[in-house]
Amino acid sequence: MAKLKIEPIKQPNKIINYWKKEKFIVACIVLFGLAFNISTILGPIYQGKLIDSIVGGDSLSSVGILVVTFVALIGMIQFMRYFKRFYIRRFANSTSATMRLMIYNNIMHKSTEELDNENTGNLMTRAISDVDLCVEGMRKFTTEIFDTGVNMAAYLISMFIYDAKITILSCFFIPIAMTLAEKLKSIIYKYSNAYRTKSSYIASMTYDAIENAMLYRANGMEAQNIEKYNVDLEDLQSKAIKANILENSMQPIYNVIAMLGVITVIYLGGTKVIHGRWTVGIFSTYIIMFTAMAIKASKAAKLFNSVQKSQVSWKRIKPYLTEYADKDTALNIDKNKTKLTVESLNFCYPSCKENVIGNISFEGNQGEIVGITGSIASGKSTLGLSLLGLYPYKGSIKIDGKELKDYSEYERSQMISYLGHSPQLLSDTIYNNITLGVEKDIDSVLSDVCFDTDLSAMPNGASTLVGNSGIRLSGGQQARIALARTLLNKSKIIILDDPFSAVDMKTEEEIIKNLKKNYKNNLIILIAHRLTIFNRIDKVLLLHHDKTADYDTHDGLMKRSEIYAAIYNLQCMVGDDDGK
Amino acid sequence: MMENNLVKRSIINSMKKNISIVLLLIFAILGVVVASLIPPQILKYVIDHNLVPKNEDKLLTLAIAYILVLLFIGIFDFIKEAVLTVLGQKITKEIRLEMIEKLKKINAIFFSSNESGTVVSRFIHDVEAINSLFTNGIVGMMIDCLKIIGIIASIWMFSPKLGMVTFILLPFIYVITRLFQKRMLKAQIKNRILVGKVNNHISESLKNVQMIKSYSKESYMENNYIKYLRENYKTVEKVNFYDSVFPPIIQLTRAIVIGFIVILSSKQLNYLGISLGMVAASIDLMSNLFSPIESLGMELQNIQQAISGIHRVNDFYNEPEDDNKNNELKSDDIISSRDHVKISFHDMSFQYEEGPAILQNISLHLNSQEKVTFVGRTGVGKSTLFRLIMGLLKPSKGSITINGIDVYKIPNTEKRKIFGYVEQNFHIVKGSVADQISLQDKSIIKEQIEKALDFVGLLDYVVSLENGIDTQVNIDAPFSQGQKQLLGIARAIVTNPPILLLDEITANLDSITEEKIVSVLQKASDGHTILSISHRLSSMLISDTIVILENGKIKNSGSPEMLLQNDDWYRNHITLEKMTWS
Repeated sequence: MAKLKIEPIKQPNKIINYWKKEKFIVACIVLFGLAFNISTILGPIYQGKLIDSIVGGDSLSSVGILVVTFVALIGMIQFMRYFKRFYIRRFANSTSATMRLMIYNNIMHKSTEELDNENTGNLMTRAISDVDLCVEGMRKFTTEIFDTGVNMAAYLISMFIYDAKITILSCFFIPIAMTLAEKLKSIIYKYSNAYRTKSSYIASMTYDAIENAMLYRANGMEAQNIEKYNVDLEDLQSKAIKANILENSMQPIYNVIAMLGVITVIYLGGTKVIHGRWTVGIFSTYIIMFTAMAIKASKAAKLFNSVQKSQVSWKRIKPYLTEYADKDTALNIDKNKTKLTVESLNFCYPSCKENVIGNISFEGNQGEIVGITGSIASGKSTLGLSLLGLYPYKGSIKIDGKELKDYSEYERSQMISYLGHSPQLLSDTIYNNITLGVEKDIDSVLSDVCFDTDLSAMPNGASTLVGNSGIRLSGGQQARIALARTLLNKSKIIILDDPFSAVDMKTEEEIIKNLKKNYKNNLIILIAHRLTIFNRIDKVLLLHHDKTADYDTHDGLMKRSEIYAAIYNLQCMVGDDDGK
Repeated sequence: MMENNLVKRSIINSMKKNISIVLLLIFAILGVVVASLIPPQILKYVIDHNLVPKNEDKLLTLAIAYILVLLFIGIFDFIKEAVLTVLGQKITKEIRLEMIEKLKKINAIFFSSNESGTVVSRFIHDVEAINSLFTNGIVGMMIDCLKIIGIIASIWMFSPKLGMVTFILLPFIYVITRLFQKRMLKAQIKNRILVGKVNNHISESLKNVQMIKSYSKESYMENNYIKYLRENYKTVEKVNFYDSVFPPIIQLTRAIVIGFIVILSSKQLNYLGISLGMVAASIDLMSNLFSPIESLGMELQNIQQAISGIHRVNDFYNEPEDDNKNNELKSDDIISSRDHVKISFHDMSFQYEEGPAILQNISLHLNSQEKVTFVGRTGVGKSTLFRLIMGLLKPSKGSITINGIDVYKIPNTEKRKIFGYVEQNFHIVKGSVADQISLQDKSIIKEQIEKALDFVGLLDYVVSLENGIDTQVNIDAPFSQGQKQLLGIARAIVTNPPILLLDEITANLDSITEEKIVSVLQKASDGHTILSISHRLSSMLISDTIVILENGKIKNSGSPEMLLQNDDWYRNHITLEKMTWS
C-alpha cells in the first residue's frame, strides 16, 4: 500500500510544483510510460510474424514457441501499461488531495470579514469542484504526453524503417485531420457554449417556475408560462442538436480523413508483397500500425478540449492556492485573575456605516455574572460579538489592563469562550463536539448544563452522533451541548448570547445555579431578553434604543428604570410563553 | 409497471411523431453494422487473391474500395449520431413539456413537502439521464448486440468451427467484464459516499466558521479534513486499481485468443481449414469483438442507474392533482361590485394528508371592505389559511365562499382580478422590474405598472435606474429589503383587485421602512377588503376585527377595543410590544 501522506506544499499557485512534489510517482510514470509506449510496437510486429509463420508452414513447435513468445510479450507490455495507468491515476489522486487541503487551509484562515461576504461560501464550494476538473485535465495531459507523443513517434519510426516512401505518402493526411480538428475547435466551442448557456437558462427558468409556483398559480400565470417554456425548450433542442452533432459526429469524419492514406498502404504495400520485398506479415503489421495512428489522430480533438477546460478551472482555483497558513500559538495571558474594562465602546459592522452600539462603558471581574439586555435591535448581540475582537472596534476593551486588539487571535481564543445564537454543532459525536479534539473529561461540564440525565437515556452515551447540524437532538439538547463546549475550558471570560431560548425555565434556573457555584474564577457575560433569572445575577447592563445604557444591579434597576421593572414584571407574569 | 408511465409514453409518442427519423436511424444503424464488417473481408480478399498468389490484378481498385467503405462507415456513423441526438432531444422536450403541464395541475400540498431544488433536479438531471439512457443505453445496446452478431456471423462464414469457438468465448469474456465492472461500481459507490463527506466538511466548516475561529480550532478541523481526504484517497486508489488493470487484462485475453487461432490454423494442424486471408481477417474481427462486449456491460450498468431517474419522473407525474375548476366562472360575475364582497368560512377544517389538523372548524363571516387581522404564534396555520382563501388548497372539511361561490372552484386565471396577495417574503421572479409587477402578464400594460409603482412610491427610484422599468432584478440589486416589500404590494394591486391578502409583510423590517409600508397600505385600504396576518400586534393596520388563532382554532375574535378588555394574552403582549421588547 502507498504511503498516505497528505501534506501542504510550497508555492501552490504554480502548477508545475504538483508534479515536482510527487517525484517518485512521476518517475514511475515516466519509466513505465516510456517502456510501455515504445514496446507497444512489438505487438503488431509479432502479430505479423505469426501470420508469416503460417505462410511459411513452420513446424508446430516453432509456431508454438512464437505464440508463447507473443503472449508473453503482450503480457509484459500490458503489465507495464497497468503500472503506467495506475501511477498516473495515483498522481491525480494525491494532487487532488493536496489541492483540496491547500484550499481548505486558505478558507479557514480567511478573516471573518471576508467570510461574512455571503458569496464567499458559494465560490469556495465551486472552487472545490473545479479541483476535480483541473486534476482530470492534468492527468489527461500527462497521459497523452506518452500515449500520443511517445507512442506515435514509436509507430512512425518503425513504419519508416519498414518503408520510408509509403510512410511519408500515407501519413500525409494525418496532420490534416489534426489541424482540421484544432481549427474546428473554436467553432465547436461557440456552439457548445451557446447550448450550455441556454441549458442553464432553462434550469433557472425551471427553478423560477417551481420556486414561485404558488405565486404564479395565485395570479393565474401558469398557462402563459408553459407557452414560454415550450418556446425555450424548442430553442434548447435546436441548440443541443447543433452542438452535439458538431462535438460528437465529427469524429468519424476526422477518422476517414486520417485514414485516407490507407489507399497507398494497401496499394504500394501490396505491390511490395507481390514483388517479394515484404512478407504478408509485414503488410499486416504495417496496416495495424497505420490504423492505430490514424485513430489516435482523430481523437486529438477531444484531448484539446479537455486540456482547455482544465486551464479554465485552474484559473478559477488559483486565487485560493496561497501559502500554507498556521496560527501563532504563543500564549501570554494572566490565568489567575480577570478584569474586563469597556470604555466608550463604539462598534459598526464593516459593511454598514452607522454605529450599531455607541459609547458603552462597563466593567466586570472574575466570579461575576454580568447580564446584558435591551429591546429589539438595541445591539446586545452586537456588543457580545464585539467583545470577541473578531471585528475592528472604536473605544477601548481592556482585559487585565491590556487592550483586546493587542492580544493575538490565538490568545483571545484562549481567554474568551463565546456561544452565539446557533449551537454550531458538527456532524460528529457529542464528545467530539464538546472537546473539539482535546482529550478531557466531560462529566462535570455535562452535569453543569443538566445534560447528564439526557445522556444516560442515550444507548451510546457521549459517543452518540448528533447528525448534520445536530439534527438528531432536540433544540434544547443542542443548546446545552453548545453551552457545555463553551464552559469546558473554563476560559477567563465566558460570553453567552441568549443560550436559554430553547431551554425550559426550570432547567435554566438550574444551570444558572451551577454557573454561580462552579465558575467562581470566571467572568460570565449573559446576554438575554428574558429577564426572569436576572434577579440572581450580579450586575445588569440595560441597552436603550437611543444607544444610551444603564449599568447597575438588578435591584438598582428595578428601582431606577421604570421600563426594566415593567418588563421584568410582565415577563414573570406571561411565563414561558414569550409570544415569539 | 406504473399505471401512468410518462417516460415510456413520451418515448413512444416522440418516435411515432418522428417516424421518418426513426426509420433513418434504423437504416444508419444497419449501415454502420454491416459496413464495419466489410474492411476485414477486403483485406482477406487482398491477401488471398493478390498477396499470396503474387497477383497485382485489381489491387488499386481494392485499395480504393477499402477507403470508400471506411467513408461509408463514417457517413453512417455520422448520420447515426446526428439522428440519435435529434431523437433524444425530442424525447427530452416531450417529457419536460408534460412535466411542466403537470406542475400546473399538481396539488399545492406538493410544494410544502418538496424542496424546489429536488423538483428542479427531476426536470433537469433526471430527464437528461433518461435521454442518455435512451440514446447511449437502449439504442447503444442494440447496436452492440448487432455488432457482436455480425462479427460472429462473419467468422462463422469463414469457418463454422471458429465461429463455434468464438460463440463459446462470448459468455466467458462477458462474465470477466461484468465481474470487473461490478467491483468497480461497488468501489465507486463507496467512494461517492466519501466524496460527500469530504465536501460536506467544507460547507460545515463554513457554516460554523465563527465557532471554529473563536476557539482557534482551525487545525483541528483541518486534521479532520485530512482524515476524510485520506479515506477518500484509499477508495479512489481501489477504483484506480480496477480501472488500470482491466484494459491490460482484456488485451492479454485478446493475445491468447489470437495465439490460439494461429496454432489451430498452422499448416501442420490445419484444424480450421481456412486460408491465410481468413486467418488475418478473423484476427481482425476477433479484436473488434471486445469493445462491444465491454460497452454492453457499461450500458447495462448505466441503464440500471438511470432506472431510478425514470421512477422519480413517473412518481412526479403521478402526484395527486387539483380537482377541476369551473371554467365558466368569471371574476366579474362573482364580484359585480366592490360594495358587495362577502367572504364566509363554513365550519372549515384543513389538514395535510395523514398529518395533524392545521385548522379546525373555522367559521367566520366577513363584510364588504372589512379590515381583518389574524394573529397568533407562528405555526398556527395562518399562511395556510390564506392559501385556502385563494382556493389554492382544498379544505378537508367545510368550505370558503365569496358571495356564495366556492373559492376552490374559481379558475386560477380569474384569481388575479379578485385577490391581491402580498407574501411575507417578496419572491423575485426572473426578469425586469416591470416583470416583477406584471409577472409578464401580457394583458397588463405599461401604464398600469407605472401607476402601481407610483402608488407605492417607487416610481421615481425606478425611473432613476439605468434602464428604468426594464432594469434586470436579482437578489442583491437594485432593491433593498423594504423596497422589495413595496414591489410586492405593487404586484398585488396592479390589477386593482377588491380583496387584499397581506402575510406578515412587515416582519424583518426596520421601523422606518415599516412605517412607510403601513402608510402605503393605509392608503390602499379604501375600497378594499383587507385580510392580514401579523404576529406583532403593534405594527398591524387599523383593523375592524382581530381574530386570535390558537392550535388551529379561533380562540377569540372581536374589535381591538373589546379584546383589550377581555383577553389577557392580547393585553400583555400589546404592552410588551409597545416597549419594543418582544
